[in-house]
Amino acid sequence: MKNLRIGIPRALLYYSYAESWKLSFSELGLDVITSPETHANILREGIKHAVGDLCLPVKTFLGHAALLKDSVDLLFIPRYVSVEKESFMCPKMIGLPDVVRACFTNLPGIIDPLFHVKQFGDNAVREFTKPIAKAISQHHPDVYTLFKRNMNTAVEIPAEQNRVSARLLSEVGILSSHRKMNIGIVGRPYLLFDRHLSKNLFKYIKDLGANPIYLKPEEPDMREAMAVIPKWVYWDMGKEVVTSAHLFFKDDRVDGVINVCSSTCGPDSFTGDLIRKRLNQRNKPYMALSIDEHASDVGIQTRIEAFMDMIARVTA
Amino acid sequence: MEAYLGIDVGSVTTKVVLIDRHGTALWSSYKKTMGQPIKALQSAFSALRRGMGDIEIRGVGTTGSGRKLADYIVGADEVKNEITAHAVSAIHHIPNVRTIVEIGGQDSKLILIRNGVVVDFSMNTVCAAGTGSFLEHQAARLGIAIEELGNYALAASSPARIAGRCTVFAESDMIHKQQMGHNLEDIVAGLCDALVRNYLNNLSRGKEISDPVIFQGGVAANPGIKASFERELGKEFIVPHYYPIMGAIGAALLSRNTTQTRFRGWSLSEKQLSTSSFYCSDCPNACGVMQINDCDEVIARWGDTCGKWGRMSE
Repeated sequence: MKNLRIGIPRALLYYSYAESWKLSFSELGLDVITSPETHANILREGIKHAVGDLCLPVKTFLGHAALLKDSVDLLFIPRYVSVEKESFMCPKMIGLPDVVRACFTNLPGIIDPLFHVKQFGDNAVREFTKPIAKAISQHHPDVYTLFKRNMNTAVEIPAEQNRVSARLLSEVGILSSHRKMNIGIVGRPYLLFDRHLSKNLFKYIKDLGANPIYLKPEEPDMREAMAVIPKWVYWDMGKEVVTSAHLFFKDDRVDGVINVCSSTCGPDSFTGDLIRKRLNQRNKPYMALSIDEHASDVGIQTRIEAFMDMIARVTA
Repeated sequence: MEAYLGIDVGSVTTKVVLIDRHGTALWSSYKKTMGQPIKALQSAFSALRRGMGDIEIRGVGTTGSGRKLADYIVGADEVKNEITAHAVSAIHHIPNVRTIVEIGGQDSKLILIRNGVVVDFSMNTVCAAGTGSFLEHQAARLGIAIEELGNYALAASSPARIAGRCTVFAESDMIHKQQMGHNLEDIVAGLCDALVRNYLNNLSRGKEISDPVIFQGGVAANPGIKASFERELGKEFIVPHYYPIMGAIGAALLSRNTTQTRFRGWSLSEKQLSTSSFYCSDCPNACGVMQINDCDEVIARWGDTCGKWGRMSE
């Protein structure tokens, strides 16, 4: 018998959780098919199918879904509502499976399990895996066990991007070994690590001779950062963005911070303001770099170059 | 005579300036690019030669969105982004400057300076609603020469309220106001207010605009916009003498550190340069690759994400 083919679009939460999904599905005997890295045609296709109000990352997701839909038996589009007790995904993410259904005809089956820690607490993974088990006709306990075990599999990040953990930043001192300009990069993984959307920002900064740093904050760091701002950030990922910015601002080895956001992102417009007004108390060079479907490489490069010139002169 | 050349290839205009070692402008030109940056540069070069005779170029700086193109064909020692070029130039002319408001043909910038150092900036590139092209288009629609627009605005008694968020909406708003019977002066003044509001909304949120404020770029020629800014912010906007060529001057100033210039010489103006483009089909990105040809020879290529075509022409 032929294996079921399950398609996972390489966009949005792919950049946060895909390794665990891929691993679990292949261990369950499915053929996992992922779309390639975003390229111009994928984006064009996504924009074609989307309504104008959707943000760029969601449009990108639609492009990936379009590419996969005819060559798979099932599309995996989980509905992530909350990954912690007191946090929420952006509404566009919560409605993602519905958006895909509304934008296309002739879709394969869609598995859209609900991930909702606020509602299900410790049973979130158990609930999450029920519709998966049903859709692929396997025993729920087996599916649950695999997904539970693989949950924390790290996501692979393209090699040129320096990804350090917050602990590493403070203890190992990766930053002080050579005195290149160190630029902290904050933003949502699906924007930063999609090289087409972020215009290969990490590489561009490296080519200009600086050291771009992305970090994955840990729980104690988040608690510390949340204590600095007037209100708990309840947007998922927003909390990580704010925490990373906080860690970068307070570390003397980091010369400047760039916040990469999608130009119409609602949650980012809140966190961006928090970062600028509340966290940058030492007035470190800071720039919000907004990414838009029309933005040419030149516009982004001009900003990055100017930002680095600014750092060079401020720190001289 | 020894001099330094500054070139600012913007989206709408091409600026060329010649300065001496002290930064004094000896010669300058400000011309519409008309979508043909190479031609614009060539004609500026011939005019410079006619006007200045034999000059020894010691350094060349380029800036503007076409700075790389200018570098390819002229040979530059300093290829600098517009923010830095404008800041360097403003600080050179007015050392205690704290804010630079720059509005060009298709983009606008806000640069904050403290103690002679850029400390913050913002720039719009996506939406041209608050820029020179927008004003020019509306002036043409109203049948007013762009140079006259400011004087109309200054003559207004009660500026009409016009939405400046988007050029398309602004235009329908203006038509509506005309049909309601507002006079031309009030509509033009309303247009200036709308542009200023749009600029402040887009660029200055959360940024402190403090004195002295320098207003530069082509739109600074418009006294109506200057007046709108001053009314809105209650601050004086200083328009420097060289306001339209400040970026080019900045690029030239930056090139003064050059020891051995890469300048290709004056023959540029006689060469048969042309540009062409094609879409690469080697991967799904389908990059549009631009190339500059000197007769049959390709002298530069760019636009490819992977850099393959760019390397081939090196």
